[in-house]
Amino acid sequence: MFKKLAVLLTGVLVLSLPTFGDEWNKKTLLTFSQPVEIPGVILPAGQYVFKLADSNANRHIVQVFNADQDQIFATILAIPHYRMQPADKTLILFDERRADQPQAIHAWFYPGALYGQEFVYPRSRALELARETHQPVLTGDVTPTETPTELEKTPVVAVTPENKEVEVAEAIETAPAAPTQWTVPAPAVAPAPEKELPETASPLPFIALLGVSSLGLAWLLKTIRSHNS
Amino acid sequence: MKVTVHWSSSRKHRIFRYAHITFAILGCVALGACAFAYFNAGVFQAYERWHFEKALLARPRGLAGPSPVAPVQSLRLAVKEGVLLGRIEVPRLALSVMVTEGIKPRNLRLAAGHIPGTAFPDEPGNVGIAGHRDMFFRRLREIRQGDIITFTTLAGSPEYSVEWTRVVKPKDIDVLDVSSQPVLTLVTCYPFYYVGPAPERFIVRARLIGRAGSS
Repeated sequence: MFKKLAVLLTGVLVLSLPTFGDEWNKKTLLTFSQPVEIPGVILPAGQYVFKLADSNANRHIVQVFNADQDQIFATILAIPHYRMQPADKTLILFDERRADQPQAIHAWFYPGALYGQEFVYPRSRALELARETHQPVLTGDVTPTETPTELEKTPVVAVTPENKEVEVAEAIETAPAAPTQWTVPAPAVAPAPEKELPETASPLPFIALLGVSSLGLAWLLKTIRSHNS
Repeated sequence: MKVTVHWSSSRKHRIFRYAHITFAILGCVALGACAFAYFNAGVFQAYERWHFEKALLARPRGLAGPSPVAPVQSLRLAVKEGVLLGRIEVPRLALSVMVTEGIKPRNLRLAAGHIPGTAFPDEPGNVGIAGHRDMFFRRLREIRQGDIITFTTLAGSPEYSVEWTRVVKPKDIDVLDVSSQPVLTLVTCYPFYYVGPAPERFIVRARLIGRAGSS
């Protein structure tokens, strides 16, 4: 599974600031330069806090907040995703998507962790992703507004591009995902969408003025001509 | 003032005649082009409004939810360049304009446009909408703090309350910066009565206060 798991940072600039959380909740501040998709939510470019929910029963529930942590965008069920070698910085894996669509986050690794969080998508979206990527995608009865307690016991399966549900163990390859190189780009704020604000003055007033002036001039010429003929 | 022209030949007479006809034609064509542009935009708005109302009635109930998070059927995934996104209304100003995706000149001739790169109305963040000040957003000159703006889409109808208005330079793109709070930013040219490319932009910033018709 996920042989063609798309690579990191394809087109999406991700900046991970030095982690300021503790090892317990894996709190991480991420800056995305482009919109990204997480289960049930599209996050516009910007800064977000990813951290594990405060649950002893399940350490694979991720919560996504705004940078000030006063607004929660999603509570995401995940399963462990193993890597042979830990990355020394935050690692985000994206599913391969069409160029005109936001990259969908497949998994999130805390720096130094061998086990990351592979996100479980709602059923309808998981099927769409499976058909786009031609790979099974984890799914379950999840919505981004559920509480950690509600998600703790949610069963997880994988949906294939043919819309068949299979056990997660069947879907996941025994070999772990190949190590991928993580590069931290230069610090940057998410870029503004345009270099200038849109031009919202149509040429119609100028054209109308031209028309009125032309008609006025035509009337003047006609008057002069008839006056002198 | 008395204008006296001495016609020395019929040639000058003909020149005046041709100039008169030329300017008359030019004037008619220019005014006709304006009338056509307004007519075309009016027809587009009326058709898209009718079409949108039908789609609203036919939409699944689940798409309009009170949740601050986007539904699974996200607008970003559903809407393409030039496609209808929704309708913006300011009831106090009797302003109602259809919004399409993108700000290419053709889009803005027919409707207001969602500024690419900004959030969509079903997402958290800063939703940027641009419109011509001499067509759809003329009435924004009368908007004031506290006015309610409704952005009706097939994925919900967020309601915003105007926080402030501001006149900025075209390069002041920070008004479209990502916001941790859900806000709406309307952009149009300023001054409102100006012939030619306007030197400034009029900005309306509104914050989300709820979602209409989400029950």
